[in-house]
Amino acid sequence: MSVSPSRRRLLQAALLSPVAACTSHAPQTPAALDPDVALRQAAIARERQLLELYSSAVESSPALAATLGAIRAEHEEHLAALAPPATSASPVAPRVLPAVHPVALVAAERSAASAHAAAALLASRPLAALLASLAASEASHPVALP
Amino acid sequence: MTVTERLVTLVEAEHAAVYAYGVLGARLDDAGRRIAVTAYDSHRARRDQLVAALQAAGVTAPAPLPSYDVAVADAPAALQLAVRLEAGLSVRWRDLVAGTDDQALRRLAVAGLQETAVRAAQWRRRAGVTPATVALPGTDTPS
Repeated sequence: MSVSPSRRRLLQAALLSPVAACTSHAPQTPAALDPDVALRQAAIARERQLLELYSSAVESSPALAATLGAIRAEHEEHLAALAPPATSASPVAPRVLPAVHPVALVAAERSAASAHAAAALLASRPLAALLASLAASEASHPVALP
Repeated sequence: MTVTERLVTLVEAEHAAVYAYGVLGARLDDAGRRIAVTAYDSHRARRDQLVAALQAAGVTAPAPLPSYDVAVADAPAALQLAVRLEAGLSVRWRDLVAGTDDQALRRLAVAGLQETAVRAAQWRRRAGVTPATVALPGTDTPS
């Protein structure tokens, strides 16, 4: 696999510099050298955050449950596309969700879309295509929000 | 498929979209027509960027066909065609993302995919289609 200059820079910035001192004698694992790993993890974190936000919003606005539930289901699909089911199904302890107004969802979707789009410039081709689709889906969600 | 082939395919699709918006806009109400005008301008701009990218690579971009088979009887048909155009372009933009490491082309393709997905959602919403969005734009067959 070819590594573009920008991917190499990311790799150096994100992975090599903090651990350089303690890994000079230890062989790097392929996973640690692959910038896709960090990009994928960051995308998973963004999707989990959105899922939590939508859960809170449904509780705050039960009348919008159908609309918000349909969009939340698309985020579930995003998460499934990013993570194998075994890692995506980590149970979350029940807790009281903070109130979320639907307007906050628009901002959160746009922010996630920007972050996915930026990551799509750095990822390998297959992950870039997935991230670009996620960015496009999230950019379009405000159209469907009330 | 090479990057050049993907760019050529996109230019051809953008030519068709520009033509189609000129026809289908006339079938829509005022609000729909305003979106169609914006979409028309946007597709022209993207087409010009794609043509420039091909020229920079020393490739002559394909010219538009004299006409396209665009039969739009009424507003619902116009909305359906608009959704199909945008969803079809989403597939081609995603193909370009998946087919290049060039940063400028990636950026263009990521933006193109976002724009077409947003417009497809706008048209689905106007057509009363729910949900108006899809989970993975660019992976579905044009609908």
